[in-house]
Amino acid sequence: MVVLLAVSAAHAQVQVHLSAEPEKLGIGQTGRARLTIVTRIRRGPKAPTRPPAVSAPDGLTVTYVGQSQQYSNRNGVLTQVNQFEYQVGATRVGEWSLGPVDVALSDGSTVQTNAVTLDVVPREDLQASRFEVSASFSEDEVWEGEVVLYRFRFRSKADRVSVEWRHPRFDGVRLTQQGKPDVDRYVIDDPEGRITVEEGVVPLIATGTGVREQGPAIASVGIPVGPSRGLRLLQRVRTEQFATDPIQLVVRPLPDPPPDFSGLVGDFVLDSKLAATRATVGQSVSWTLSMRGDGALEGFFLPPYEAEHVSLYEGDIRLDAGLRDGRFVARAEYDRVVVPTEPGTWELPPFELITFSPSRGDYVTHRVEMPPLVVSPGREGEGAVTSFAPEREDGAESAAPEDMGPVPRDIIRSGAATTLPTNAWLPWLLGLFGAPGLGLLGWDGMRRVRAWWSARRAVDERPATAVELLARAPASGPERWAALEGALRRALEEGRPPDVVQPLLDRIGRQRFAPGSERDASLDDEVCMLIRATP
Amino acid sequence: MITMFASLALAGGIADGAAAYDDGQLDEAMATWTAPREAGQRTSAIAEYNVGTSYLRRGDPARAIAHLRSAARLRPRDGRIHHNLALARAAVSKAPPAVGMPSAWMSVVTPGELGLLGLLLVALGSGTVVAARAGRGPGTALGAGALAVGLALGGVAVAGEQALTAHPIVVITEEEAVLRDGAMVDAGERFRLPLGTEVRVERSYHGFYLIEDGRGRRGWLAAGAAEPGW
Repeated sequence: MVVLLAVSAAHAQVQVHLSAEPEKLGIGQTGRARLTIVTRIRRGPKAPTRPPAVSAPDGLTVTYVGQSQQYSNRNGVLTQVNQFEYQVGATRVGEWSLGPVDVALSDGSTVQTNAVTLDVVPREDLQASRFEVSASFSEDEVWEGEVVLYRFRFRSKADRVSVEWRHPRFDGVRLTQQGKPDVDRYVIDDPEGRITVEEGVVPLIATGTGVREQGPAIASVGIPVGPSRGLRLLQRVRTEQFATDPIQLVVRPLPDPPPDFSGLVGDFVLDSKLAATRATVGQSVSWTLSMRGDGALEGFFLPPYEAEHVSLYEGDIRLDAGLRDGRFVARAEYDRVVVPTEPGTWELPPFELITFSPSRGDYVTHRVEMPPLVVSPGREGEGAVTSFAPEREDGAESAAPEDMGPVPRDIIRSGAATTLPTNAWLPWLLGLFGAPGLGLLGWDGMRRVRAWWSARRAVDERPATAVELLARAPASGPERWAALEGALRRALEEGRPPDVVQPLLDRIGRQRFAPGSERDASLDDEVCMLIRATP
Repeated sequence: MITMFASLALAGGIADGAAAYDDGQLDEAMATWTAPREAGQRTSAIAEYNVGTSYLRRGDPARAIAHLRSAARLRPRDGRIHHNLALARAAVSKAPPAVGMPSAWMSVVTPGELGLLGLLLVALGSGTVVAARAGRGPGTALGAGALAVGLALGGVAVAGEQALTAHPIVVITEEEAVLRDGAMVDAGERFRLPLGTEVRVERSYHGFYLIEDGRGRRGWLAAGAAEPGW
């Protein structure tokens, strides 16, 4: 079996990666380095909370800047992505290696990142032009069917600019079905001012051979005019357009392919996993073939695989492709089911796949050796055939047909040749049959609503009782005496004895209007008791 | 009424086609069974099943799948249709997973049957409400409940039928069909689908279908490269 290269981890559940942008700095310029740690939530160790130490070689300075966290859920797998950001300053010309960095995890184990090479060069002179745009392919010559990366770049010393790109109509290449363009924007701190850089990568597949001219990419740059305003929406912007130079791509036709060429162009690694090497007759054994490489896998189906004593069924295909660290990577997993049909120990033939390797310039046969499959008889035992057919008079045995494969069922010889469309009549019939019931229910509903509304209005129009007036009275002050007087008068109307109510009214009158009268301490309580007493 | 009599008149078409089929005249038999479709009517499950079976016998599994899926749409519980459909699909083993019906219940019952059930409940509920009002039979609540359930089922049936009509299934009949970025012959190529792939039509435009396959991938397909199921 071919062994896949791991990305960069000692733990299966932890991935670490170190990157730097840009990878080329002028002396005195400052770029960024990023350490990414991907861990699985609730499984395995966690990322450190403190930033790992990144030692700086002689020609660079490294300063921790900050960190961020993100969470993602992909096919039900929850992962946490921690990113630690460092500022990298270039102090001496030369090629310097940053990392590898040792990352201590929460369980005490350590994983190591990759190393990144930074090239420090003498500072470029950007005075000649304030804006620079460029476009290029990752390679000048590619093979037909190979994935090539179209890179575009904008660089500016102006601050707060925005860029929108319009790419050329590509000739002889097309966009990949999977793997969206990737655009990255970053800032280089230069002693003479900040340099804004926007770089993008578009994965393309070469479909036409020959020399292919690609037109310019147009960058529409929004340049702020005037002083900076608080809201970007209020900022006046002037738009200028810059075009890259046309570029050329040479697409070489593939050499004459071998008979079983799969059509894949790229450097791939093939892996195989058979779920079990022991099975019973009729048992389904899962077989997963996985591929990983820098070529496009979209629309690709595995070639047929034939083996004696087993049946093979195709299953699901899982495909994923995209840009990883500026390179196109495609991954696919093909599920198959192997069902043994006879007991015994069977040597399964190897699985072969022929691809074209651009790096070698030749066809490559990927060969996956299959383990032997030990098959024991099923539940029915030896599999002896028992006949229930009546014995023939001549004593001869009935011969079973050689081909017992399924046959199509016969046609139907009678019935209607057409059918009524449902939507033509159903809504009308529903309305027709439902109208009487709905009408009556609606009529009843309207009557109930009217009755409820009338009852509510009757309640609102009824005058308040003495008890209700008392409840609404303010807690203290002259307004309370006025409210108590109103409640007493209402109590009189309700039939309370006048010889009891009238003296209380007189006392309230004196309390309210007689100047210098003493406070009648018990008057309030007596009024309340009278009103609350049941008549 | 006219449609009913027309369908009765064309009922003899099944028997006529069967006679031609038994004589080995497959083309004539299929022409008889597809005549209602040419006339702008909706063919029955029996006609579609017979056409699909004929294509299977002729060794054209892709077109067989198209017509058998049309038959399965109208008779989802018929074992004969599913048997022949499975055989046709087995003959195009390279095809990716087929696109399913818009709703799971359509695999068991047709919109027409569901609508008929809803109609019966509506009629029953409406009659119960009227009877309760007249002082006979059970209460109004029971009738209102039946009416509501019937209307809901009827609504689901109508919506389901509209979904099926607006988004039919087509089956690719070329060895490898090209799916493009736009409804033009020179539009960029997105991916390719093999013979026998069952896809759903989102919309059509100028001789092209915008389709979606069983894996959710979309692209424009030339109409001539596929056989419509319905």
